[in-house]
Amino acid sequence: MPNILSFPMPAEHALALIRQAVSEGRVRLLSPPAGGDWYRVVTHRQVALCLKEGEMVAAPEIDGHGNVTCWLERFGAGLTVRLHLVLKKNQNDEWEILVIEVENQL
Amino acid sequence: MNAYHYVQCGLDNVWLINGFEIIETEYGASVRIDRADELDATIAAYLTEKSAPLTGQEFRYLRQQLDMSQKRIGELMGKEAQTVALWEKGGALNRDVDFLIRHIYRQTVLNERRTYIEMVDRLNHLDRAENAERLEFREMTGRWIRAD
Repeated sequence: MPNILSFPMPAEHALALIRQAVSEGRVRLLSPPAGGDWYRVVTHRQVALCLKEGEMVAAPEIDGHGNVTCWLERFGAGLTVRLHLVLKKNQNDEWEILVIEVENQL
Repeated sequence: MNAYHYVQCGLDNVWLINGFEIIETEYGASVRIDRADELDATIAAYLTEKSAPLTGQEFRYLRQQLDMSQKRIGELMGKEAQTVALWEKGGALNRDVDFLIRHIYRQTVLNERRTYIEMVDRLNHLDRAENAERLEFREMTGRWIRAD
């Protein structure tokens, strides 16, 4: 039986999928925002920059829903922003990002 | 379709009439906003032209659009980071601060003035360098230098 998707997904592969999804606008945020009022401290701008430029801080894993999940981190605007993301296919069979947590620290 | 309250932008009073899609996921309801970066820039451009004084929240929005810390924007205005934090928690800004943040944003982003872009980039670079936990040095032509 062919190996359809190799796990664990290599970090470079996941990062490439994230960057492509971002460049093509396939990004979702939980609404209402989960994980507290993060938008009182950082704005959507820092989330977007983290998706575009952030570094992966842990290897991708499979979560309880069977999706690929990972963490990205970037320092900007005086804060370190960490995003917990899920990579999943959308209805058009394209990879899409869902931001499920936004953390920040001074 | 109901308007969407775009709280994630960092302002309390922004609603989207269209240009968004909400779907349920196994993690909860989620929103996708069309060309979100362009929307954020449009909001910022509006703020630089609004006739009423900027609020602290709007100041924070423009600062974060520039990706600048309170410390660096404070340095540009001759103030401490703590003072900037107080502005951002407060109501209307004083006129000088209001003018300066609008001016810096306009010159950097809207007018794309090179000197402003370089200044903001340089200050943001300093912030990142200060934040870096790992210090990297390179030996080059007989002397050690800090690697970027």
